Amino acid sequence: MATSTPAVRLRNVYKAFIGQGRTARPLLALEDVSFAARPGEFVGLVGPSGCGKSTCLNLLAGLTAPSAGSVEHHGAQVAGVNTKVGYITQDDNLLPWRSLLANVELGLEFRGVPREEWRRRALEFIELVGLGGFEGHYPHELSGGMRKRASIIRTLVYDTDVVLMDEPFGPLDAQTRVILQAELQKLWERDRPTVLFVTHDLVEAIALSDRIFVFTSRPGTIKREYRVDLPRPRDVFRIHETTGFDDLYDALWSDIRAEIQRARQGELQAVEGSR
Amino acid sequence: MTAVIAPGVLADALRRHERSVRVERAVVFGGIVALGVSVLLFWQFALGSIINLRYVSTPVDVARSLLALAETGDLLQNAGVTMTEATAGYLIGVTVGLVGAFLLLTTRRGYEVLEPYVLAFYSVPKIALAPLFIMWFGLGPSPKVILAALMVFLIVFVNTVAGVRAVDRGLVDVVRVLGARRGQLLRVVFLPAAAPAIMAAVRVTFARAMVGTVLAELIASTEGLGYVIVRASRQFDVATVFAGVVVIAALVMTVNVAMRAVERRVFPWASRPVHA
Repeated sequence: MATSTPAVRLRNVYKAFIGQGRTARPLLALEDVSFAARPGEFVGLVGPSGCGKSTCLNLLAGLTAPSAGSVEHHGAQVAGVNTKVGYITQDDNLLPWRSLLANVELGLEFRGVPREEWRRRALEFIELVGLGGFEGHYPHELSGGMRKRASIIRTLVYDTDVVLMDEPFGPLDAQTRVILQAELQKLWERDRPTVLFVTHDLVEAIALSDRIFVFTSRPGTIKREYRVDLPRPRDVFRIHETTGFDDLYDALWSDIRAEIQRARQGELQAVEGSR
Repeated sequence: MTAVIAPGVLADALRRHERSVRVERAVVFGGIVALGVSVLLFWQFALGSIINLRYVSTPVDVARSLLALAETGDLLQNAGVTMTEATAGYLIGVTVGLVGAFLLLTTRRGYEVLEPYVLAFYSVPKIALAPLFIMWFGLGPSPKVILAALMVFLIVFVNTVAGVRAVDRGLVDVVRVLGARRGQLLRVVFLPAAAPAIMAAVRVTFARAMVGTVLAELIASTEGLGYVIVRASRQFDVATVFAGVVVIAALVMTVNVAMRAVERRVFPWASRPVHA
C-alpha cells in the first residue's frame, strides 16, 4: 500500500443537524474540518463538549453522512455503514443476552469467518487481555473494566486497520482507566492499527497519541495540531513525569480553555440578544 | 481474638436474618389465608342477613354445584370446549400479532402509516363485535375463536412493535459497524432485545383469549363454560353460575402460572410491564 494514502481523511467536511420538533432549526456541528491520519498512527481528538469530535467518528463509521465535503477511508469515499472500521463507544454496547465469548465472536460471525477460526481468535484475544476463565460469563456478571476490555477486543479480533474510539474509558473509575490505557497501548503496538481516539482527558490524549487535534467549540473545526514526541513505549502510569509532558499539557489546556470561554461568551450574547 | 469472635457474629447475623425472613413470610401467608377464609365465612354465615341468599348462594352450595357438574361429566366436557376454543384463538392471535409486527417492522415507515388505525381499532370494544361474528359464522366454535384471537392479537402486536422500537440506538449502530446485515441484526439484536416484552404480552393475553371465548359463549352458544353459566342463570341457579366462574378463573390462573415458569426458565432477565 502506498504510504501516501492516508488511512482516513476528512476533507472540508461540514455537518449540519436539524433538531426534532416544531422549533427545529439547523445547527452547524462541523465547519470545514479537514484532517488525515496515517496508517498505524494513533490520533487523539480533544476539544470542548459538543464540538463535533464524536460526529467525526460517526462520519467515518458511515453512521451519518456529511452535509458537505468528503469522508474517505483508504482513499475511498465512505458511503453507508463502514464495516471495515472498528467502532468503540463510551457505552460498552455488549449484547446482554450473549456470553463474553459470543460477544467477542460477533464480528467474525458476521464476516463469515469459519467457526473454528472464530473460536481460536476470540479465545486468543480474551486471553491477551486477561479475561481467560470468563468466556461463559454474561456482561452483567462482569465489572465495568472487564466489559470495556471485551468491547475493545470484539473490534480488534477481526483485524480491522482503523479503530474509532469515542471516549471509551469515560465511564470508568480513575484507576481502571489508567490500567486500560496501558493495555490499549500494548494492543495497539501489537498490530498497529490506525486509531482515532476521542477524549476529554488531556493526560490520556498525551499518553496514547502520536498526534493530537484540538477542536474549536461549536461549530467545530481543527484549531491546532500537536505532535506528541514522547518516546514509546510509554509508561502511562507515570506519563506526567515524562520530560515535555508539562509543556504539552499546558499548551493543550490553554487552547481548550480559550475555546470554552469563547463558547460561554457566545452563549451570553445569545441570551442577551434574546432579551 | 477477633478470629474467634467473627464467625460467631456472622453466624448470629445469618440466623437472625433467616428468622426475620421466615417470620415475614409466615405473616404474609397467614394474612392471605385469613383474608380468604374470612371472606368465605362471611359469605357462608353472615351475608344472608343482608341479602337474600337466593341471589348470592353460599360457598358450600357453590362447591356442591361444582361437584354435581363434575359428576355428570358436564364440567369436563364444557371446560374442554372452552379451553379448545380459547387456545385456538390464542395461538392464532399470538401468531398473527408476531408475524404482523415483524413484517411491519421490515418496512421503513409502515408503523407510522398504520398507527392511527391501530389506535382506532384499540378503542373498539371487541365484545361489541361478537354479535356480528355470530351472525356471520353461527353458533359453532368459529365466532368464539375469532373473538379470542382478536382480544389477543392487538396486545401482542403492539408490544412486539414497542419492544423492537425500544432497542437502544447505540447498540444497533455498533452492531451494524461490526458487520451485521438486516437479517442478522433482527436475529442477534432485535429479537432477543424485544423478547421480554413479547413474552410478557404472550403470557398475559391468555386471560384475554378466555374472556373473548366466554363472552361469545354468553351471547350465543350450545356448549362451553359460558353456556353453562347462561343456562344456570336462566334457571336462576346462582350457585352453578358461581361454579362456572370459579372454573374459568382456575383455568386462567393455572395457565398463567405454567407460562410464568416457562418464561423464567427461557428468559431469566425478562420481567417487564405490559402495554395492555
